[in-house]
Amino acid sequence: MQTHQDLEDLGHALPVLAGAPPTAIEADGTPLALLQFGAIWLPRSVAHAVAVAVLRSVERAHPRLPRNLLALDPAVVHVIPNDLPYGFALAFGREPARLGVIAREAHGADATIRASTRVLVDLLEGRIDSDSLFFRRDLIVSGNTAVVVGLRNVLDREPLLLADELARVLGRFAPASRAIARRLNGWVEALLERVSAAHRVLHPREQDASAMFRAEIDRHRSEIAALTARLAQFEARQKRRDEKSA
Amino acid sequence: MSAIAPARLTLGPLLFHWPAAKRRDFYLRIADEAPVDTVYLGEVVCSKRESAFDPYLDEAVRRLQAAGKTVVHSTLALVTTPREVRRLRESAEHGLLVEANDVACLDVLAGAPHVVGPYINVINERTRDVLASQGAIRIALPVELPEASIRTIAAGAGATAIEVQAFGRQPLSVAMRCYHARSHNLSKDHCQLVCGLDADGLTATSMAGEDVLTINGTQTLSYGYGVLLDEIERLRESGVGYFRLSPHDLDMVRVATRYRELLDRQREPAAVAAELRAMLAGRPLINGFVRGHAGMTWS
Amino acid sequence: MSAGTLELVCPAGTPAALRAAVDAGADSVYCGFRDRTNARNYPGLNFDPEELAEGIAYAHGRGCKVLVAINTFPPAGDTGPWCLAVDRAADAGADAVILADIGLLDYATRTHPQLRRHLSVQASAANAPSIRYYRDHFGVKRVVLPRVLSIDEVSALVEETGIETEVFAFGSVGPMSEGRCFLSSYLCGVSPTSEGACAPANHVSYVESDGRVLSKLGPVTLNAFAPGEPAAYPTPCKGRYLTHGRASYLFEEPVALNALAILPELRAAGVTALKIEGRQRSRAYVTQVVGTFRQALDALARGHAVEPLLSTLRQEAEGGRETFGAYRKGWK
Repeated sequence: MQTHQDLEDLGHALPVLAGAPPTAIEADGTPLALLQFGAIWLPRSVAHAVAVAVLRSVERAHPRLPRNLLALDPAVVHVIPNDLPYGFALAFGREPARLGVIAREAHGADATIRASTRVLVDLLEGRIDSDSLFFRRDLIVSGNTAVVVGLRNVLDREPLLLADELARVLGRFAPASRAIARRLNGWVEALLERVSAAHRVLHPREQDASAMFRAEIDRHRSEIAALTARLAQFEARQKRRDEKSA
Repeated sequence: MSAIAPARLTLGPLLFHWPAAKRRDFYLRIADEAPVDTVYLGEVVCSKRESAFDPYLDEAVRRLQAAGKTVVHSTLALVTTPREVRRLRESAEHGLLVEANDVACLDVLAGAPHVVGPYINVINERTRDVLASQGAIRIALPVELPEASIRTIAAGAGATAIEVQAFGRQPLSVAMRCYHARSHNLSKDHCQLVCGLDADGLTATSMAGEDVLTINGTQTLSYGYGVLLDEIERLRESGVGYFRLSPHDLDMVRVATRYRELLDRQREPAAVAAELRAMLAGRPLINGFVRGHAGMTWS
Repeated sequence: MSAGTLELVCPAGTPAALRAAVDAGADSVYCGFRDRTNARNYPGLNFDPEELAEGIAYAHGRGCKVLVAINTFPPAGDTGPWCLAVDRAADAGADAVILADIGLLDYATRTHPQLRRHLSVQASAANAPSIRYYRDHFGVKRVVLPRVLSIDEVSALVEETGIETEVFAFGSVGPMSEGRCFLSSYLCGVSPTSEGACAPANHVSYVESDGRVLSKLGPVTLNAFAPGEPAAYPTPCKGRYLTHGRASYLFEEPVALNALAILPELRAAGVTALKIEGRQRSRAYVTQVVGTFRQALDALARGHAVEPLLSTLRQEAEGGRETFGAYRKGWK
């Protein structure tokens, strides 16, 4: 079994979860695409901060969740979305739970879950049954299955909505975040449209399409970095205010 | 040690579908040569096999009784059809002591003295006491129980005797489906009694090549042969009085003789184990259940 | 329940699933405590006494009953937790307890004579004399029938015993006589009958080998799946074995029982209640399956056909396939 300290050591903390805030607010957007683009671009510090904040916020909003996670045997689960460049590590059991971002090929998990981001989010939000996914092989579990069964059962006890949880984390910065989200969302929509248009034209020459795609990404990278930095600033400021008022 | 009651050796019901003539010869030899006190007769696994031995049943009973052995009639482990229920009633009226393997028997017997067989879940002392109050004079415990549980149940059993299986493949499940028929691509209704082809059952091997289970019609047994050896002395001390040998296509007279010697402390457990291993020619001995481990293991 | 209607009995592995079942139209939900006293003792699942009380309040507030499954067999020398579970169910105001062990039935009968007792499928009562035994000695009001009976056999049992019967409508096909199958403990050492978990997850592993996924219980390989091949639960009875040198699903294929299409026949057989299996499944499954059966029963009550609903549940089915199991001839 992993200890929580080990998770710290795993922390080549790479961004993933930070891509999610727009999902929360722009529920009618393309949250999964945003998650994926966010995973590629967002700086590690932002991702880490958001991941930690989301977990703590979820635990505050669902007070039985930390209790139930504590009651599980200690374990580290790696969640590797098929369509993201990185994965997550969640440590739980006997000590407060911890969430971090890891390389896809990271070692040291008691169990690993692999599925598409869409499936994983649906699973988290209780819209889909993991056994059904398992029967269809849309969800691949390796390692100690008991760990995953326990985590699934504990999460399934709570009515979690990623959108709500993220909105809660962003708190009073929701308007600013919403603005960022709209910008991101707009880019991604346009990007996807252009990519698929290019794909239609160039198919089956996929390499050309991806080259065009990459160029597009590069043009927007700097602006997005600036926006996310602003988000981090807002967060830091909020944190200071919270501390002051506490 | 003088306080320990004499240990009885029993021969459990033949679980496999042997040809009637082979079965008759088997029981006549048991009557003449095997040092067992009690013999269980009767079909436990599948009612389609039931009538095959009928012509020889009375003769076998007579010969066994004449040899001083108590004969007990074992009943089906899973009763579903009205015909099977009727047969159960006939067994109860046959005059022999009945071993109840389905709870249906408990209703049919209506308090008359009987043996509770290993296919009825007697897992704890509460259930033991209820069944004892309803006429169980002996309870043969399920093979899954670890030594500590057996001893707890035996320790307070009072006048109700406790029996455990000491030798033979261990019954793991009963079902409506016939896996023997399935393995031959036959349906149960048209099974042609293919279970009769395998005198000790049909080996089921895992996808990785390990022999793990034995198929016997609708029943599933362990692949290894469950044995109690070192445990026997401790079990006797806690009050277990009956030790069952489950018939196999082996020299069962020799198996019975060795176990009698073991019970009489005329032979060491290790020596009996070595001899059984030689007789089984590579098929393993197991004792996982009684040791509280995975049933298929040996330690 | 008025005559001719079928009570929909639904699984609740968690408080969230209980609410999902009630909201989706369950007439009754069944659940268990967070310990060995019920046959779905998996990590993170089930109810503590406080959650049970809340669940009962939620269900009763919406006209739904709560049945508490205490359906494992207490091991020798340790029957206390099971007796306590019966006491707690009674204290919480459960509508019935679902029991299997004769000793525990005796305890409940003596200690809580007013608490309704159902016989669990784990008791494997598949014939009229067995049912009479449990009815006459322990005042059992309802029997959950094993999945080994045809509709004709179910009908005959109802007629002969006059007892309430509950039959499986959706879930696994259990080929073995339940409550007395030792295959899992034979392979991994944990007794389903006493510990409440068949093929417990901490003894199950998946190993990738030559492009295939091997499922193992303890040290024994139960199955090998090619990429994309539908998977089954890693229980010994859903494994693939070699006999005569040929690999096959010797006991049962990866397939789910779905009795939706034969609900009219089950109703005509005099069945009281339909059981949806799946306390180990998520609340999404509960919503989907319970909702579909609710629609079907409502359609049936109005004299409409259930056919439009038939394909709805395939994606929830083990192995992605469905069967009528033993209800129809030919399965055995």
